[in-house]
Order: sequence, then C-alpha cells, then structure tokens
Amino acid sequence: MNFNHQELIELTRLGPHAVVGKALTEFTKPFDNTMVVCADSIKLTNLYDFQEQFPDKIVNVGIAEQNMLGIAAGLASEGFNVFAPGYASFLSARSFEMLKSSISYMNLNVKVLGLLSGFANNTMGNTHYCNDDLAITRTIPNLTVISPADGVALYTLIEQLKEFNGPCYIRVTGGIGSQLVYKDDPKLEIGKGKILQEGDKIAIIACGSMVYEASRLCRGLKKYNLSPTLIDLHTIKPLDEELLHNICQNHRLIVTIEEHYVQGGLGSAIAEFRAKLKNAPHQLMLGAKNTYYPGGTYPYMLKVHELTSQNFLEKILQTIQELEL
Amino acid sequence: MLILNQQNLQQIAKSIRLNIIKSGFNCKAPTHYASSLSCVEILTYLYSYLIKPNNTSTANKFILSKGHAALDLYSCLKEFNYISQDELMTYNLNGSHISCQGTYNPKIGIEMSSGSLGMGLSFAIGKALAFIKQHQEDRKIYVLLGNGECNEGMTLEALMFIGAHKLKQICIIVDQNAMQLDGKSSTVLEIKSWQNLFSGFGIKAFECEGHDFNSLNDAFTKAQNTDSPCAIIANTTKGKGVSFMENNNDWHHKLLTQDQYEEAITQLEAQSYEL
Repeated sequence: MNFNHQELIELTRLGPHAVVGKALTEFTKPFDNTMVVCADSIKLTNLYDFQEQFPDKIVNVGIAEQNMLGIAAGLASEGFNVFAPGYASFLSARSFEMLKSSISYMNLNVKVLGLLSGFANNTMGNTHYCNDDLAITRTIPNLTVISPADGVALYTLIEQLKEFNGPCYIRVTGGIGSQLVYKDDPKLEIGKGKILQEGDKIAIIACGSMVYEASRLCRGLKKYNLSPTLIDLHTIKPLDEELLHNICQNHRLIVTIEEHYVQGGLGSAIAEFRAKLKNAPHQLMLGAKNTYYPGGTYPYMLKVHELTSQNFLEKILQTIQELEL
Repeated sequence: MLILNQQNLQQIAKSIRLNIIKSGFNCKAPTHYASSLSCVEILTYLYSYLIKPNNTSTANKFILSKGHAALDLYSCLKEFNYISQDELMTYNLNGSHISCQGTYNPKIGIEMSSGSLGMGLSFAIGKALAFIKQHQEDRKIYVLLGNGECNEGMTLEALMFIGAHKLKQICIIVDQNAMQLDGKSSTVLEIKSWQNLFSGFGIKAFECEGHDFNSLNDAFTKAQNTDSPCAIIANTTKGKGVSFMENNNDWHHKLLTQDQYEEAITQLEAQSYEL
C-alpha cells in the first residue's frame, strides 16, 4: 500500500482517531457501497473532506447513538457497508443493545469505530473514559472485535474493512502525542496476532495503545537480560488460538497489557483460553484499575492507573522473583 | 380510493385469528395472544394491498417493531402463502425459526429481528435512506409500533430524524390498544396526545378505527397521498375477537387451557364476516 507516512505520523500525533476521516475519504469510491453514519461526530472523526467529496454517503443523526446504530443496521440490510464512528463510550455501553440486537443478531455489515477509548478523552472524566468496551463487545456473537496499535494499523485496517463481511467493533485508543508502532504497512491479518519480537520465557501480549508501551517495556527488560516475545494481538475476537497455543507451550509467563479494565478485556480473553490448557503458564494481567479516580490528562490517567512501561517492568520483575522463574 | 372486498378481508382476518389460536395452543407455552389479536386487521390490510414480501427488488417493506405480535405476523404470512401450515405449527417450539419474537428472515418477509421494543423505526430509517440512495424514493416502509412501545426513548430519536429529514418513505402505524404489560397505558405512562407527539416532529398523523377496514382504508389512502412522513394511529382492542381476552391484560402473555382453546375456536368460528 502507498501512503504518505509523514502525514500519518502527523495525524497520529493528534490521536489515532484522527486518521479515520482520512482513511475513509481515501478508500471510498464514488460508486461503491460505503456509507458513513455518525452522531454529531463529523468534527471528532475529521470527516470534513469525506463530507465534501461524498455528501450523499454520510448521514449525521445528531446526538443519538442508539438511533445511529439502528439506522446503520437498516442501511446494511439493504446492501451498504456502513462505517459508524463516534465516541467509544456511547457506541458500546450506551448502545450495547443496538450492537447486539440490531447489528450482530442480524449479522449485518456495520463497522462500529469506537474512538477515544480508554483514557484518550483526556480531562473529560469518567463518563467519557471507556475501559469496558472490550468486555461488552467480546460477549456478542457474530461481532469481530479489533483494537489496532496505532494510526498506521488503523489506517490499513480501514482499507481491509471495505472488503470484510460482517459486523465489527474497532476500539481506537491513543491520544494526543501518540507514537507509531509501525513504520510501514504492518499487513495485519484480521484474526491473526502479529509477532513483533521473538524471545523466550516471557511472552508479552498487548493491544491498542499498550503495544507501543510494551515495546518500550521490552527495551527496559533487556537491561535485566530478559528477552521476551512481544505480540500485537489486535484481534480480540475471534482469538488467534493457534498462535496462543504455541506461545503458551513455549513460555513460562504470559503478560497481558491493555488500556482497559483487567475484568473482561484482552487479559480475560487469554485467561479463558489458558483455562483449557494442561500445564498452562502463569499469567500476569495488567490493565486499568477497576476504580473511578478523579479525571485528568491522558498521561496523568495512565500514571494513576499504573499503565506505563516502568510500572509494567516493576511488576514483571516482582512476578519473576515470586515465581522463581 | 380502493374498493374493498369486505367479505374477503373479513374472511382473511378470521383465518388469521384462528391461526393465532391454533399455533399458539399447539406450542403448549404461554404466548402473546392479546397483542397479536389486536393488529389482525392492520396486517390483513397491509398484506392484501401494500406488502408483497417475495417481490424484493422494488417492493414496499413491512417492519414489525412490536415483536410481541410476531404470532400475528406468522399467521398472516401463512394466510398469504409465504410460509406453510406445517411451518406455522412449529411456532414457539424448541429450535423453531418461527420463534416467539420475530427472527430476521427477509426471504419470507421478516425484515428485522424484533422483541426488544423501540428499535424498528431506526432500522426503517436506514432502509428509507438506502431507497433514496438507490433512486427508489417511491418505495414505502410500513412500521407497526405498539402504543406501549412508544415509551422507549429510541422511538423519539427516530421520530426526530424522520421529521427533520422529511422521510416520506416511512409510514408509522401505531396499534393503539391503550394497554401494556402492567395494565392501562393511561395509568402506566400516559401519552397525552398522539397527534401532538407526531405533529411536533413534523409527521402527519391520521387516526382510524383499527378493526374497521373502511376506516383503515381511509387512513392508508390519506397516508399514501401525503408527500411527507406520516403516522396512522389505529385505535384497537387488545385481544380482539376472543371475548375473554378482550381488554383483559392477563392475556398479554398466557397459556391457553384445553377448555379455553375450545371456547376461543368456537367464538371465532361463529363470527360470520362481522367483528
């Protein structure tokens, strides 16, 4: 794929969600079956160019996320491939039933993009933070759940989703100042985890914004002569069981890292898989604390919830000591 | 205006009511008799004149938003030969596709999975927008809502959109039997004025008697001749046609005994084209 890498870096600095408008505009053709439905979220999604180029392919329903997903389902039932971007918090928890009954039960072609998930909503506070959307969406049959690591991954994923059949929830984390994990097209395959580094003993499995943090963590662990395997598990549902099987066989400690409550997210999904194994390795589950702390800036919230590479490093070293690995 | 074959319509409505009682009784489980009997004439009219499910490319669509009347929809689909008698008799049995609440199956005209209330109008908006994109502006989508269902907030989100975008493709029908699970809607959550509710959003509303084909014909004709979104408020009786079910909310969801079944069949058989 050809893309202007510098432009993507700049957009990602605004937060990975900023690439959504660009990707949708670039990958849409005048006579294709794409439709975009949003809820007063043209500005949030940076859809101005899209709106100008394809005024008949975008519907703004106002501040009404439930209606938005119902309309998206109706359009999809008539053959459209519908992208539905908006605040993650309101497209998952608030509209859970529409995701379930209107979209997934009827197995319709709607791609719900939950933007500014995790703590990316900065100082907006706990109503806008979204650390439960993986837990919510993971329970819904037919729904594919993806959490891309950065703006490049999200950009290339949107191109893939133009051809992907069936309902998806795409969880977009990362905020202002986000770094890129991928310097080039990562050629992600939906449903297949991506090994970023092969190592031994410890396997670190992360998704979304925490993949970059996990790569910093790996650099930190090097100083302790530890060389872990690092995996970007962008598809949380369906799980790449083949990869996980190999990883569990060849490592003694699995570390899962996510900007999401430990309850119900990536770590839980892997724990559910591990529960089926004989002689499963130990798992250290790292994620947001299940507490409503007062709000603050994105970096502040990550610190409060102990979601930095330094926090992870300390916990891993402690676990290694405790388990005598 | 259409010249109605009253005798034929009443015969169809009678057969649908018999289907409702027979397939409901056959499943040996409690089910939604009263909600289904409430809208038999509405579905009879729609399927006689406006809805042809197997003509999918250009046809009008019917969306049952009040999924509690799924038994009426199946009984109607059987009467118009979209499903067989054998299929109908699998209603509400373990593993049946003809389930308690409608399950998405556009091939036989079940355009939406229903059951959770208040969700049909938004889905219909999506279809209306699709028809506009496909330059099929003249296609209509008839959406049947229950009066109780309109308590759901999502209905208001949808009405706001329909009015703002003047979606003339959408025709709402409210099965206004004035009851819901906990009793009379006037005591649970009263909607003070249906006319004002709709007109406030820029939707034209026509009131009619929902068991009277002439009155229904009059309202549907007005709706078709209107170049704006519209709503038909059809005043109905919950449980219509079976005396012990009429306006008796015990029959919202209940099991028929053998004696009650026989009594219901006797009453319906005795109705000679006059309700």
